[in-house]
Amino acid sequence: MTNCEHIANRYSAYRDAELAESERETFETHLEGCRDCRALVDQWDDALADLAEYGGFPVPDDFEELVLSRLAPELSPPQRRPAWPFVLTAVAASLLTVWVLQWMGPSEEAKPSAEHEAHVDRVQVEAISGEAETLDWASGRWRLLKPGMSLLASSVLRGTRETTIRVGNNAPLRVPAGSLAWVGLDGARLLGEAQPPTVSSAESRPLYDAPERPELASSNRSQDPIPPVHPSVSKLDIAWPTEAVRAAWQGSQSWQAALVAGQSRWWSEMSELVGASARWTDSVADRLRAEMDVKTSPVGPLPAESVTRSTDFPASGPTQADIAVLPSGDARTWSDPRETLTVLRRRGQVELVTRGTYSKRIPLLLDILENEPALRDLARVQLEEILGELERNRVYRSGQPIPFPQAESLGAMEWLTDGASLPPALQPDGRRQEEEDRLRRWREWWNSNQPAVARVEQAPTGFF
Amino acid sequence: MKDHCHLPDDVLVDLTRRGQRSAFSELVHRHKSAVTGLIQHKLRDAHRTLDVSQEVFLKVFRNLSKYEQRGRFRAWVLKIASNAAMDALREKRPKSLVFLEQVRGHAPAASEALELKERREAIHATLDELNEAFRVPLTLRDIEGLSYEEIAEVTGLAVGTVKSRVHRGRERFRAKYLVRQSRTKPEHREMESGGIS
Repeated sequence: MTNCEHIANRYSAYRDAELAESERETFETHLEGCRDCRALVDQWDDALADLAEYGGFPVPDDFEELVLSRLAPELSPPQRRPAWPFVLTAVAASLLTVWVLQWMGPSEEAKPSAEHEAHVDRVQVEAISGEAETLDWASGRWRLLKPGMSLLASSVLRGTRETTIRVGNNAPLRVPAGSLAWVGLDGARLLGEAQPPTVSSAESRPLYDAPERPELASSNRSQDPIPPVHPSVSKLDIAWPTEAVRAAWQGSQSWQAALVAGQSRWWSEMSELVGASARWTDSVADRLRAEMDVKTSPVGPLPAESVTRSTDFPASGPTQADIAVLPSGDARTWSDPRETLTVLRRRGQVELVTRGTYSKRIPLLLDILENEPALRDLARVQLEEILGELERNRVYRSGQPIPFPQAESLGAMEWLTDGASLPPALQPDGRRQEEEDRLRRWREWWNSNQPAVARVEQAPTGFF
Repeated sequence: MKDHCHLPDDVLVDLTRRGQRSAFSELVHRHKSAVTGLIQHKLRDAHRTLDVSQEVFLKVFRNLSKYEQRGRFRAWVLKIASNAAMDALREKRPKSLVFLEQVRGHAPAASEALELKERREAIHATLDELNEAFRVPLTLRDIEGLSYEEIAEVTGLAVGTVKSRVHRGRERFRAKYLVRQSRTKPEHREMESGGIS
């Protein structure tokens, strides 16, 4: 039973669409029958509407210019951003392969001299967006394609003094000199390029020579051959390899070219991995779109002024959630306390999109799986997607083990992938064990319910 | 700037780091309202608000390398703005008495100017009556549209505290605004008590 005092106390929760559906219905039922409360809520709404409309500070139109003019000495001229079309990249990669084969062949004079070989001072790898979203700018507009990330390729840079990896909100991780530099291929890119050579060739370490990967050779893949580079790779900004390819394309014997040449097999391998990843991603995305009739969500916040209260949330209703529904009733956001955003879009169907690292997404999906019957199938699909991605990483890591020379960097990949091997100093406050327990419970539930969408026995147990 | 309007903040930050002036211009454009609003609601001084707001964006630019909380750029900027406002308050400079319309640099048409001016002044006078503890969370929520989590990050308060203050701020604002309106519009007088009987 709702009384008038309750209405006054819960107005903000009602306005912010934080009431559970049952409470909201009770709230509105009371309003229909209580003139005083209706008047109060109307007053409140009117006052806050005036506040929103007239309460802002009128900023001068030239404010941006004022700021930029004060920054003029510090703002460098716009740099040309490498926006290499995929086709050019593919062509360049092909020519690079030819060039590399020639360079690595018996003709010694084709190799750059020691003075021209690679020395890299500092490399930084950074996710392109918060929580490692995958963004697509190939269409000329940024779109959220697929949450999550995968790190599929590696390299060792000779003479590298420092490599810093940062993904999402994670603290930067510095990789020791001469060890692995990971390049995230899903929404991540190499920043800062490398600094000009500062280490003499005598001090530098040998370039890491990637081992032969016969299982990846195209001649051994008679079934369902994977294109060397999938067209979807255009959605990835692989700035460093692209720059390196450009250097090779120009026939330069600079440190960049030498760097790529020294890792020619790695480059070939990376192309395979990218192709496989993109193909897999596309197939999952296509299936999801076909099954759920989803529309890709634009990146960006919902306009606050368009937000109104929820009217059609599933009967179970999410708990501890902020819900917002656009006036058209076709979209809503759901922010959970861990700030992993889920967007539900209703166009006859429901779309469920989670963003963030696996360690964030998995607990949220488990929450939904366990507590939200209306969304269980969608959560299950996403869990299947994550498992598939982890499985793929595992195949390439341990199916045919890549002999990484630095165990620490292997740990770095696991950390970036799912938080499994986070260095003790960087481990979050005891949540790992909690997540492990939740995952174990989920696996038990999954097996007991015999879902049709995935086989949990294939989950990479080593990742959790 | 037109091409940048669909890009998320973090991408614009990356582009700014790469030297794209237009990317930073878009960031300023996107967040100037929230920054100036926050500072104004702390300082209550229009001219100083503009000065401090510019300083905030200079500081933002010069500290982009320290921005690590990916996906939370707005909260990061507003935290800088909040600190700058506190620093400005400590300077205890005399308050300049300037109407917001003067700051804007142009006057609206006479016919609508009066009502607009009255409404705006009523809103700001009502906000002035509120304690800052309620005014800032209220304006961040209901003018700037920040989430409770973002407000908590900016103000350093717990989310629950923010929700409570926003609610109480809304209640106080409603009551005081109604009283102020009833002084000028008799038809509102009958609703002056405003509460539940």
